[in-house]
Amino acid sequence: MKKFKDIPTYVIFSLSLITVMVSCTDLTEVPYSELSDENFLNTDEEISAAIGEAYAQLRNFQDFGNMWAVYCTADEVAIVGRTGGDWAGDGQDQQMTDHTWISNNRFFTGTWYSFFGGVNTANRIIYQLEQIDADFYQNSIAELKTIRALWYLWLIDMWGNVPIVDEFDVPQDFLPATSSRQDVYSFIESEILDNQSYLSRDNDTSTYGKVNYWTAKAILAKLYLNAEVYTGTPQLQKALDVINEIIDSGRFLLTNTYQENFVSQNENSPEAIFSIPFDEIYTQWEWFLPLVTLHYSSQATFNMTEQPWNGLSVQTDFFALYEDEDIRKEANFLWGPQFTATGEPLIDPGYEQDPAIDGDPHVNFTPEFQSLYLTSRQSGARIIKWEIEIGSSGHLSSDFFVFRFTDILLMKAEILWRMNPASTEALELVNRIRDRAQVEPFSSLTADKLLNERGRELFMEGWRRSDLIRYNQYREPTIFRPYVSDEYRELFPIPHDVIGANPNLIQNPGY
Amino acid sequence: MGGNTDWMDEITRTAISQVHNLSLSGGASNTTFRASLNYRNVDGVLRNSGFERLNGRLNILHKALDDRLSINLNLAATSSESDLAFSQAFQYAITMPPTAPIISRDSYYKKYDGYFQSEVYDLYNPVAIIEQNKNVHTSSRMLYNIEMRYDLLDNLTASLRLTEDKSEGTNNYYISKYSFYGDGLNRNGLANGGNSNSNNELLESMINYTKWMHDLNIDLMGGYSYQSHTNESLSVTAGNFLTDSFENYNLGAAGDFASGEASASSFKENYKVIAFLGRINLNYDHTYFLSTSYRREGSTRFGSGNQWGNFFGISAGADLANLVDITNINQLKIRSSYGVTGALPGESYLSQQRYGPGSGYVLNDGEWTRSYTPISNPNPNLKWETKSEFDVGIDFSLFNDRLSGSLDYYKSVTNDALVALDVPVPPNLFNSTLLNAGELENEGIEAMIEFQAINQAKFNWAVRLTYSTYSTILNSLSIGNLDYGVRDIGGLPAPLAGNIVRVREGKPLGQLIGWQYEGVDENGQYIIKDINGDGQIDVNDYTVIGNGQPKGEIGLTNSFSFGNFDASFFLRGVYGHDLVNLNRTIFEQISRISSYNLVNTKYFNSDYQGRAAYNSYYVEDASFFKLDNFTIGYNFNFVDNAILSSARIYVSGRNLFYITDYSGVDPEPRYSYQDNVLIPGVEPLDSWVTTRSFTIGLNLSF
Repeated sequence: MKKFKDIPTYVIFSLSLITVMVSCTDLTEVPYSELSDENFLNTDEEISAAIGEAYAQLRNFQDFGNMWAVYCTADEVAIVGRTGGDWAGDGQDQQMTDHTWISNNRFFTGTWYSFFGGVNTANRIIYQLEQIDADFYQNSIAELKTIRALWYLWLIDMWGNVPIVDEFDVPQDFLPATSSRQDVYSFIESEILDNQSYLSRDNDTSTYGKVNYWTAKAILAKLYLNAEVYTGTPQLQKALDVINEIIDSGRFLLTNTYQENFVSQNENSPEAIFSIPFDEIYTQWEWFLPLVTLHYSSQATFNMTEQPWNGLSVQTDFFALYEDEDIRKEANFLWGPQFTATGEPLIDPGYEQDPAIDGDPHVNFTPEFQSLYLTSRQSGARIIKWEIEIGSSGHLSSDFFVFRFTDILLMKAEILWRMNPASTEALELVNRIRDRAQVEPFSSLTADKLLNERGRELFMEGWRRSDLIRYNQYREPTIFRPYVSDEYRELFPIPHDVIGANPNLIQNPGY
Repeated sequence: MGGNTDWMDEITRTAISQVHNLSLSGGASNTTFRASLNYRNVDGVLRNSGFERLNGRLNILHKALDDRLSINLNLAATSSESDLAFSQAFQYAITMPPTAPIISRDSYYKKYDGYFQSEVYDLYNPVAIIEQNKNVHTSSRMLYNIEMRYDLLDNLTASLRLTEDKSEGTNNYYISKYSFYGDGLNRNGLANGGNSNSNNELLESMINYTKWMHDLNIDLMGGYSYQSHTNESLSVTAGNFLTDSFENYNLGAAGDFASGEASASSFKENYKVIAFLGRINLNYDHTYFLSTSYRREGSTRFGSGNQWGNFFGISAGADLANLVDITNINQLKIRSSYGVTGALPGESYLSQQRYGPGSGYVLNDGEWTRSYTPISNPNPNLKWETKSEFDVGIDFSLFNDRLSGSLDYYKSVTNDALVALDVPVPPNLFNSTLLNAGELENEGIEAMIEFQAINQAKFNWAVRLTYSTYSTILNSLSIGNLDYGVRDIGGLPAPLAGNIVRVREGKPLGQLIGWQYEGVDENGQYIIKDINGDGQIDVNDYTVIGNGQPKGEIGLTNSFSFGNFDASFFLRGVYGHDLVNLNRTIFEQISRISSYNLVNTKYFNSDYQGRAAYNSYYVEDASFFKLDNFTIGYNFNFVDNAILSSARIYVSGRNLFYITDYSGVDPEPRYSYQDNVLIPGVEPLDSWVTTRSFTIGLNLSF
């Protein structure tokens, strides 16, 4: 123990310590587990990680939350309410399919945020690259602007009139205003035309999963094909010109079989014009269609490591579009009595939830339903278009082709037919696709034949809604919606919360 | 299904708890000490839940240099182990049908280790949840505190305080490979192990000058304080085990590392708060009081240029009893104060644009590489939230202090209140940013009266009555062009849809909205009031159907002593608030009886055949009056030289009864929902039941 006489020195020491501390007013905030503007984007690897985010966000198109807006409002698939209460909550899931949705339907809100999140990300990285060296990064900036144009292609199709935001450095209280569908159309067109020359024309591993010149052309092809819907003025010749440029490049080929485009290792398909890569591990929980569509008990059919949710099913009318010999029917759907991987009958332990509706415990996927809002746990054909490997977790490894060569060929057939309904080239193109599907060739083309061939071939590839509207069939009755829906349903409502936060947005008519 | 299960009974128990205390004190003339040890072992009402805690304290006070120097050393250590179990078990005990058995012999349920499971959305056997799985948290905390005071002059004192408060916690979480709940079966066993620690440092130095000049006392103080807070955590989650035996104690055995499904996270943050402060207290003849204070405070959590804030306070008072001599008045003090204080955001780094690995990976030239994305919308303008409060009050004491009390009126305005608001997308990446957007106004009165009703040698009775009212008005939530106006927020849980609360600038907080219930029609559907009279029932017919904020609170304490016996009880009431009874909206529906248990309160109406629904029928007045606490004790007397100097034995009870009309789990007001204070008035689905508890205790002094 210190002697008392030592203590005054100790006190003096403490007092001088006080003086030192008083001068300490440093309030620099140091993040330890995150990067700040100061220590990010300093190396090529960091810049590549930043640009990568614009691509990673494109996977949101296949995000579970966007399934309703992207797929369920058309006639392909639906989330039906099941006995026992699954998927049968407030009815918002089903309102997407029978076209009775309201403006605060939660699915529109999520999809709006997700798509405009992609726009923000592209804007941010463009801004950051411009700050570093706009000339040096010109090619990357062109790529990012093409990604942004792709988001706007989806936005013009679903909402039509949306704000065009192409800047990142805006005030905190910036409230962008709605632009007309015509202006959005012109924006997409000029963005592609201004930037396409900076994009790579290569189509190899280095450009796989990246937007290149051909992606930009495919965006233009879709924009021009739907120009009449978007602007009132058809642009068939422009559409035909860009489609011919893609075809004539010789870089893309039709595969021998339909299925090879949807296997787990589909990245080598010569049909892929622009693909969003997925992987069971690297992109887990970003695309898990098998979990969404298969019955709980189907876990035993594929020896899956996770139990599926018994959700998404194929609509009865759409299922009926396929002839029995069409190889795409078995490739796309799972129906009939179900068995385990070892061939035992598959049993639904919960069938007695409502025996009057559920019937036999042996799982049997019937293409028919009792109703959209309440049906048995076993009704509906299920979706197996993308390969479900035995023993998988239900997360897909197949890449999602946004633009596929078959689609381009069918678009060409449609344009030629629209220009001349007797076009033999159009007929031959469609029959090439039918021949691969092992169905009888058509002897002539009609609107219905073209629309439904696209439907059968491009099932759940993200174009059915757009195709139906272009053929003026979107509002026609289906089994789930036995009436013609209102014209304003062809555009989605600006979500309630989104308008609440930005009074400069104008709601689409009808809502 | 053949079962007959009382699920709530199966997951709960009569819980027994023990507390043991030991304290000693002593010392010589210059050095005194006090030490104590406390052990607590508490069983939770939920089976397999509870905690054990050991707590030790040591306090040494040393005086030197003719008492001019004093050194006070405090050490405190705590360690505890908590079995948190799974509070969701309560929710499923309410919703699981009583016809479901706990265990099924059917071979189908072998995969669940024999536990029955319904396999419908969001429904799990609650007994299986708590018996199969583990959720244990351990923590330890060390507090070091040293305070030195030195009288430089007779009236001038310098003091220095150094504190270090370190705590550490570990998480030990394991979901069995047979558990349907928590992904155990899907992941083939799922373990989480992690630890977190925090370190808070404080340095405070003060100089104090105090002097009487005739009748005036001057007390001056100036000082500096420096606080640094550091938090760190590390967590690993992995599944796919051969056996349940390891729980979370052999994470390397998880198959997830090879398959790439394991996940790990670690984190560190630091923030600082630095302040310079000064205070002047004047006291004239113990009759007039005046005090002013000033504080300049800075924090790392704000944007550059906004880090420092200036705060001040002033208060004045006078004791009228010293001025006029009125019989029976011992004290009659009037006082008033006005002051401005500041508040920090709850998180660090919000002013900065930050990046981290976001959506995950991207395919670059055939290789998957990480992509980086912003973590939040940055707010470089983030600044101090300030609250200015005005208070006027009176303290009185009459009849030789037999009757005393106080009455206060206060009004405060919070400016630049920190709120996470919906911001427009586009242009933002995320739809919420923490903004200094709020202006709130609080107003209320607080009254207290205490009366020594009987004050005799053998019998004492004292009554204390408290009463308070409050109201909160939201003046504004707008900033710049971001005009808030009126918004409906607080999403109802699935399968319901819509929002619970309407936030409107200029109106009180907590306006519960929805459809107005008018009855049930012949088809078994609700009749809803057509508020706007357009013949349609839609969102435009929402109206205010409740108030989530209480209007006031009343408390009554009675204490007695009668010879060696003593007793006290505390009654408390809160009134004027409504609660949304979410359990009823979803589970009191006959249409869901095939899968879920029926909640059956006095409001149950079997005429209604529809789905889960929300309207004014599910919003209930939750005013209540309750017996919070009751204690009765006996004191033993000992002769002077006995080993024991005193002893007391007592019995006490908590939450003994409620008087309320509310049919839910707990009528206490809820001030936030989904962590959002703009959404008061919702009883969430997983509310813990309030438990009645009894304690028997023995205090011994040596």
